[in-house]
Amino acid sequence: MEVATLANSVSLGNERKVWMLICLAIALVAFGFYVNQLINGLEVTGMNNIVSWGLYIITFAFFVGLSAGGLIVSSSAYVFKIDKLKEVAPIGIVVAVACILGAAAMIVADMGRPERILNIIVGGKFTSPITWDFFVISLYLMIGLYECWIFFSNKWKGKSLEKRESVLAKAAFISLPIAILVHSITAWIFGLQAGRPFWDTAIMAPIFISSAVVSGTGLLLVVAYLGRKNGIKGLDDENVGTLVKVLVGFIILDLFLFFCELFTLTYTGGTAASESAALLLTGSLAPLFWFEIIAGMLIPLFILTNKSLKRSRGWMAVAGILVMVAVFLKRINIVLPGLLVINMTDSPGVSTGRFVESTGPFFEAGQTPFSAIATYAPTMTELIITAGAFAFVGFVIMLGVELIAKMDTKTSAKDKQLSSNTQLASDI
Amino acid sequence: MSKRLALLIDQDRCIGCWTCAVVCKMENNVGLGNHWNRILSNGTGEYGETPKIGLDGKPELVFQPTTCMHCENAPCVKACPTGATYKRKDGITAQNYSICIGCRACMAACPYNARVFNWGTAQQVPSFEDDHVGDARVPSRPKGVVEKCTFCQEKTDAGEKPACVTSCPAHARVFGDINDPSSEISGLMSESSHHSLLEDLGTKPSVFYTAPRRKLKVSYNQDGGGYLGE
Amino acid sequence: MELSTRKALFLCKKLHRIVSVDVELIMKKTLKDLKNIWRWDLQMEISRRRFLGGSLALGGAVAIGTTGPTLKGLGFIEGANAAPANEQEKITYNCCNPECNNCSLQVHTRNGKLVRISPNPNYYTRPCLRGRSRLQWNYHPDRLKYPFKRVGERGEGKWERISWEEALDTIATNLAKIRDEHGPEKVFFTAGAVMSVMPNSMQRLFANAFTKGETTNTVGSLCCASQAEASNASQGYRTAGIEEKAHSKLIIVWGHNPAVTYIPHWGIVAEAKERGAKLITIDPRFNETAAKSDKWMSIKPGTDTAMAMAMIRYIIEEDLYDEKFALERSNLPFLVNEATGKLVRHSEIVADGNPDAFVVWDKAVNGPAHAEEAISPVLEGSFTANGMSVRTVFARLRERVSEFTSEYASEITGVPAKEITDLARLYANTKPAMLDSGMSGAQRTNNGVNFIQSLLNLAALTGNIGVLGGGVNDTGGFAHGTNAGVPMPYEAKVKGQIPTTKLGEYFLEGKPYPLKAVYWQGKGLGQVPNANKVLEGMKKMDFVVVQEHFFGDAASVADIVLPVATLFERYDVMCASRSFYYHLMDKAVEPFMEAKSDTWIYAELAKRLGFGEVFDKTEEEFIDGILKPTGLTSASLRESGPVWIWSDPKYNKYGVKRDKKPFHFFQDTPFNTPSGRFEFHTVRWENRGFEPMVHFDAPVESKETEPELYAKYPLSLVATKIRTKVHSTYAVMPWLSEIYPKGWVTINEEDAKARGIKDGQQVEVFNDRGSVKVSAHVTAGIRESVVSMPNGWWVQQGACSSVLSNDYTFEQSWGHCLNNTLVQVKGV
Repeated sequence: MEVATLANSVSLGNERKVWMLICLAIALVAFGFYVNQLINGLEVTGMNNIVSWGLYIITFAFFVGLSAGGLIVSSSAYVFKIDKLKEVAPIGIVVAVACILGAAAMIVADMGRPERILNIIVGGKFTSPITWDFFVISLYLMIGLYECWIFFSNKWKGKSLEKRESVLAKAAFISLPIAILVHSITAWIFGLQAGRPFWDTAIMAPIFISSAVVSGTGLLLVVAYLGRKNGIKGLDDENVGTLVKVLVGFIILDLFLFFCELFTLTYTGGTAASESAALLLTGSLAPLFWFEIIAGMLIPLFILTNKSLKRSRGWMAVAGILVMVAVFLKRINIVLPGLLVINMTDSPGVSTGRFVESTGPFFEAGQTPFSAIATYAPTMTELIITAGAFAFVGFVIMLGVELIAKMDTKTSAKDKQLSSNTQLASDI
Repeated sequence: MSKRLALLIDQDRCIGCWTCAVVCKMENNVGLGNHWNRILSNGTGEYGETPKIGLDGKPELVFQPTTCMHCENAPCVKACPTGATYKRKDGITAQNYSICIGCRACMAACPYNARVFNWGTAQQVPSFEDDHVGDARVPSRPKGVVEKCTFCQEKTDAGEKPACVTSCPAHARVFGDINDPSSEISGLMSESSHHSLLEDLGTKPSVFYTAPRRKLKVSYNQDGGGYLGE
Repeated sequence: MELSTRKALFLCKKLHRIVSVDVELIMKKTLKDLKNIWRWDLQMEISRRRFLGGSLALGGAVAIGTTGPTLKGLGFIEGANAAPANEQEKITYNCCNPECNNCSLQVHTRNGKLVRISPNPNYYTRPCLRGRSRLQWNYHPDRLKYPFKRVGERGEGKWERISWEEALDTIATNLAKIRDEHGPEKVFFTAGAVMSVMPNSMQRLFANAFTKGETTNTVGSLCCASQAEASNASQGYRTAGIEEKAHSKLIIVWGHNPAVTYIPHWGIVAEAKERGAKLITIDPRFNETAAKSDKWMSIKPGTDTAMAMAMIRYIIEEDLYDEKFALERSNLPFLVNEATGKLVRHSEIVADGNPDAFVVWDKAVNGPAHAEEAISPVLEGSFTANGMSVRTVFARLRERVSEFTSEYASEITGVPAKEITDLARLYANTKPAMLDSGMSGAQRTNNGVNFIQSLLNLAALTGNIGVLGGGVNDTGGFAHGTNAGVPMPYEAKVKGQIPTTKLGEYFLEGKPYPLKAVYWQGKGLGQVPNANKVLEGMKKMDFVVVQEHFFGDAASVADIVLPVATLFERYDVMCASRSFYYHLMDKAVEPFMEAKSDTWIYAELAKRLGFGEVFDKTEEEFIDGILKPTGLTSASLRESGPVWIWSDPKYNKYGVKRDKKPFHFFQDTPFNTPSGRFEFHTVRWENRGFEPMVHFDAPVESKETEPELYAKYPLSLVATKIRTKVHSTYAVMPWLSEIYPKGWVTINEEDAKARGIKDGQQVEVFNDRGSVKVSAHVTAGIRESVVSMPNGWWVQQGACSSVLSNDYTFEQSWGHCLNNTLVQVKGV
């Protein structure tokens, strides 16, 4: 059986390797577009002076959430001593590290002068949530890499699982708060802005955290499906069942929080914030919003609570994908309404920074750069660079899965040598 | 007591001619597509020229030049991670272009949409190889940094007034230190009622507006000299 | 790392500050002594320093002559216009020369490049956004760099770059050939409305020498022919009371928009308002000045005279007129022969009487008497004198306006009757009150002459003429009053004339004779009404030369296009014009690429045509010659800065000097009319065969006069001015185009609803003359059945309102009647 497993893992390893190559290729193409963006500036994106944050920041927030979600789940296992979930930890960490790297990539892609990123450290101002985020994300990444090191490095080979677990348990007491903090701070980048009424809410951090857990757990379900054939350590049916329960709980929480927010704004009405809410409910973002709620939250809720569907990993994956899409849309539906509705709507509006040349016989403005109505549509470049980040995250996750697979076999072989009395023998 | 530089705009005098906005672009070499100063009006339509209809059914149009408010409690300064945006001792919210990383947190923070970003390398007509339009003391900005009205800090440091103030053909803009009771602007502000924009957001702007005068009643008395203010 | 860079920057900044030269401070010191001289004693106390800005309350000025900088006399805030140069900059002074406020410009160059334009710190106006955008003009990407020759069909747009040699040779050869074969008058020279002396004078000089004086001229103008005619007939001069506005208690802006066209002088109006003056705007559209006014009165285009006549009637009927002025300074008491309708001459009542003197009825002798010798002239009455049945002008005027009750006027104009009488009463009871017509849109109609006459009559009736803060403000006015000019070698023998508005028609129909060549300098073809016709007409010519800065409309149909220097690249002089000052327009930079000054071009052509000696002077020498009657020179102007034309009798053609004692036209001078008085019944028109007294003609191309046309095109089109252009000048400046990139049509809400048009929608505005596609601005701020379009876009840019405009004109003034245009609007 061992041989068969080995053989399986090798052939599946080839398939995984092909996917890894594809992801790498996409990431490289995206990098090429990024170089173009470095040369020409951010004008290659669809952003303007009104909607000054777009797809990059949205994806950044999404990745942070995805990352934090995964880590929250796996750290909670140690902090709250949920034994079954402890086995999810390695894949959870891998996902966390991959996604936070994706987040970092997106943030760098969004910066006008990325070569100056160290200015946040040198002379950085601690009044800014972005400074906090920088440090906390760095800390978070270090913890994530530390935990990966615990799982995968040769130093830890041969050490008993219990020893590892005790270190991880200690680390979890740091990593859980950090994971919550990292996404709260990302939320505060928006939530502390009095000047953007839609963002200015006390429950921005709770909303972000709950949707982070939703997306993180969803991702784990997808990974569970993808690894169903050779079985990823920690994602067996029972663990998956626990994840499902977690997901259901947090979907409900997330719906509740967002409902509170929108209901409060819509009820009072007349303010810029309520106008933003109206954009979501009935305005230009309504299609995205209602897709998020219905297809992205309610349908997965049905799938995850339905007795027959619950058992299918395939359906779990569908639910997982839908909730991830939902959370991505949620990021859009939080960032864009805050920017689209401006405080001073007097004509002619805001100087958008876009000079559109006249198509007539002389060089002059063809359109006014002013606009009282904000518009935003991501360009090809933005979409490709974002896709590249996703591809890179996928690549790192698959690399992690490789390492987990190797970790699994190594550990169990070693342990087998060490003792035959442990429960691990039954895993073969 | 330290200075607090402020701007007072007389909306009765202001005719919305856009001279201050165009001059600002020239003096500070602001690229095409961006403006540090813009004239908002309570009119509607694409150019704000369609007058609003007042309560008495008559059309009315009021012009409001709008720029960086140099807030005392500046949200942009709080939001900037690198300190590229900072408050000077004289009250000016200043910008250090060599530190700015272009994250645009300040733009998201500004409730007045006063900030503009160099999405690409600023396009300018005329553009010179080794020089730029406008005041030589104003630094050129590379692409990828945020910029905004600086109360012409290079000029104010030299004891001059900002370009918009010295250029307004209607003399509708007054600039000075409102912490100095003997300054012209302090005198004017104490004589008239004035307001700032979005005051309830707590930003404490340093740009003030005096409202247009109420319309004079025209009285057509046969006798009585004819001049009536009522 | 970052920290030390910041420190270094900081130190550099400090150093720079110390080293900077403050030009403004130097000037301030030298002017300090003279601060008090130009304050004159008016009752208005200036409590706030900032009211000095643009304040002409402090009137009067003294020019110091050639020693040190001159004061601009009409009031300024010390240092308020400061834009000091830093040490790398070279400063010269220039003057914005389109048909605008002619502000003094402080021009900054660095290393031979224009980099900044600022207000002249020692001048009383601050240039507006257009003048400040001139940097972009000088270095515009589309600015003509080389001479071009047409290849392909005229208007096809195919050009070949040629050398100046070839261009000048071609022009000289062709012009000479046409002159020799067809006659000199077949070469038509025309230039745009440039207020400075050199460009148009050089063309006139060339044309004069080339044709030996036998030219084809234009008559009338696009701006103010009717205004000029009426003013000259009624009072003998045009007036310009711009600086007087600060003293007015009531300013009635009629068909004028100073908040757009007189931006640099707005400070004066603002000051008047701050002193409590009321501002009332009369216009079919709620314009930018109406936005600053106490009241907006909306009126049907072309009917303004009816309202003014109703006001005259009211003032006469209610005895609100100034009897003293009427008797002593106007010709209201003059007797008119009822049979002939002409004024009675002194020679008609006394055997050896003066045929140029007039007659009044003298109560003291109960008989007719010499107008200036009568003891007690009668204002109103019918009499018999020497067998003639006579009546005073006043009596005839009363009868003339009797039909114009407020109700009747209200029917014609659409203004409520009560508002008309209220306004009349207010105007009569407020002193001083000014009628601010500018070059009113109301006089750009077939009623234009009558309208201005009616305004002048109102002012004279109420004793508002010759009063500080009163009168009728015409922006063109006295300001042109200098004796400066270029002497011509030949006497002018005009062979034929073309009304300016009829260029298209005359070109096409070969009137007054078929022209063969056109030498077109700078003029915006898109400003001429029925512009498409003009383009067609130009295409018919044998040879067309255009001297311009861009491939504008005229250039697009030329054979040879010449790139010409801007005002920063040559020498020029502004002799008062709108600014009341002499300015040396100093050269600041070398011409861009291969551009050349107009003077050079004409000099080169003259050489080739055999009269090179006419142009054998440098530009500065020409300017010295122009200034000769004044005693100023280009060098002295460079030294002193702008010089006020009233500071010395030699500086103006009226030979007057304004000093501490308030001097006012028509107060201390007679009227320059045949009678020496203000004429309600004008001798000039009597002599020319036109109706001498005010009257109302229905607008041409209107419902009343052309009902069939009206049925097709029921909307009246009025053209308006826009902040980013002066006529068609500045039309392609990027900074200005960012504010208003495209034209539009302003349409009333009801009219739009009836046509299913929404705000911002693309619409077509059309009539038999042409069609334009623009976006619609739907507003309640314009009369129903009236639409307006901003004027100034070139035909090639689209949105050119002149494509639709009526090119009607009439002999009395050859005025521009574009506001007699009917159009229809439909959504696309």
